[in-house]
Amino acid sequence: MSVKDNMLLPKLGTFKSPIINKKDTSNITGSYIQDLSIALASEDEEVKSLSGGNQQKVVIAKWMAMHPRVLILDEPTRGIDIGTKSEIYSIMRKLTDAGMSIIMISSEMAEIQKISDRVLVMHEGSVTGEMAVEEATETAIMNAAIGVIENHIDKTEKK
Amino acid sequence: MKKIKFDTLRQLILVFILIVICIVWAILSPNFLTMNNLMNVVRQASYTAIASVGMTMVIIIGEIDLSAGSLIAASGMIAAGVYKATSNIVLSFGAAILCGIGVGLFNGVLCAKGRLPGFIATLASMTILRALGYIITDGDPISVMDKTFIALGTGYLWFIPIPVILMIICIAAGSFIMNKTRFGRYVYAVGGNAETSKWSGLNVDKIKILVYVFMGLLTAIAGIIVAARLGSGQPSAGNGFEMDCITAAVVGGTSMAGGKGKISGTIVGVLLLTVLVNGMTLIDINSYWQQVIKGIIIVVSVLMDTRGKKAE
Repeated sequence: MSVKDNMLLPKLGTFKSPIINKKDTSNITGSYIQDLSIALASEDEEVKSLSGGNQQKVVIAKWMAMHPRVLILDEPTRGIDIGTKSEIYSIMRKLTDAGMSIIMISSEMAEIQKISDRVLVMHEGSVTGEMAVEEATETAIMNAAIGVIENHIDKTEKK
Repeated sequence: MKKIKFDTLRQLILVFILIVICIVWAILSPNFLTMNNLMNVVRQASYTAIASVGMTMVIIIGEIDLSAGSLIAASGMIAAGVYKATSNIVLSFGAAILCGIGVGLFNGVLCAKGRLPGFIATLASMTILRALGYIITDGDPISVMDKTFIALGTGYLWFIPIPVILMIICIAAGSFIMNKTRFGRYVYAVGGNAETSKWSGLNVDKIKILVYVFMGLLTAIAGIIVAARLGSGQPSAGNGFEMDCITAAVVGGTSMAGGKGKISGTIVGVLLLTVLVNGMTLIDINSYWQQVIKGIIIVVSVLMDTRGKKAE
């Protein structure tokens, strides 16, 4: 599918009219392509011809367009070059500054330490560590990851 | 200068070939270019074109409908049968269309909810529907020579045959849905990647079912036209019809893998095949050789597509 169609797929369901308004939709996709600095020749280009990083940006734009209060990103920068990685980090920062909450799932320690505010570590289905990013040292994360539970985790506190 | 995409090039080549074939026939047969014959061609193409609009959508969404031929027979017989019993044109056409929607629903639900591949689901409905037709009528056609009934197949609005008008309406409707509505985007999305579409929030099952229902509706309209034209609903009608629709779609550029294709291309495909057959009949080529040539055209079209993809 084209970048434009792909990006709009969830959003189309929110419009009142079943008929696609080309101008409105072009405006929406155009603004996201600009804001996220997605490198492409035209929005009608096939997504598969984009680089991995830019494809990822299309996916992020797709869900940003739905204006969620919580955005869940599962390994958002896996397999992406360093330059685009930092672009995605700054996009995430902009979103959280604007009030969105982001839950990022990642297996890259450096990435977690770089952009998180709070870190949750899980082991075999349970949360084994919850710490502010300042406390999230490699040792602390690794310990929690292999199942060592810190004293201050209250296991009875379930939301 | 904008680079010409393969798809646009392909469409142009197709139209070009159609024109070339027309020129060849015009040279080889003095009867080809007559108003009478040309109207014949378009009228002949009309019911295939109508059902092919639906078939294009079914193939784009990644499935297929093998029951089209049987539905042509069934809807024709229902239209004829109901008209014979009630002399009410609205009731008879309405019943036939309801039948088409019902079969489409059956196919769609079996495919989407039953998780059967569309091929299998429609293979089943094709077999059952065809057999039921023979059982109910004992193999005999239901003939209706009433003027009102056959008007749909043989009548004119000004100088345009009514089937052609219906064809234009169905093409317009199908194209509008696919190009201008979000449902069209959904069909392309599901055909391109059903799994991803689900993750993007689309109700894949509902979309598939609706496409099959639309196909059933269009096929029923085609079936009514055939019955009206023949003046009878025949259990043997539409034999191999689904193959003509699929051929037209493939020749027209619809990919069997799904996610790609345009109704406009399919229509050119229908015209190309109809003109081909018409001309071959005019210069007296054996109808079996006609099948051979049709088969060759399919192979050439798909080869063109595969090589075009590789070039991209």
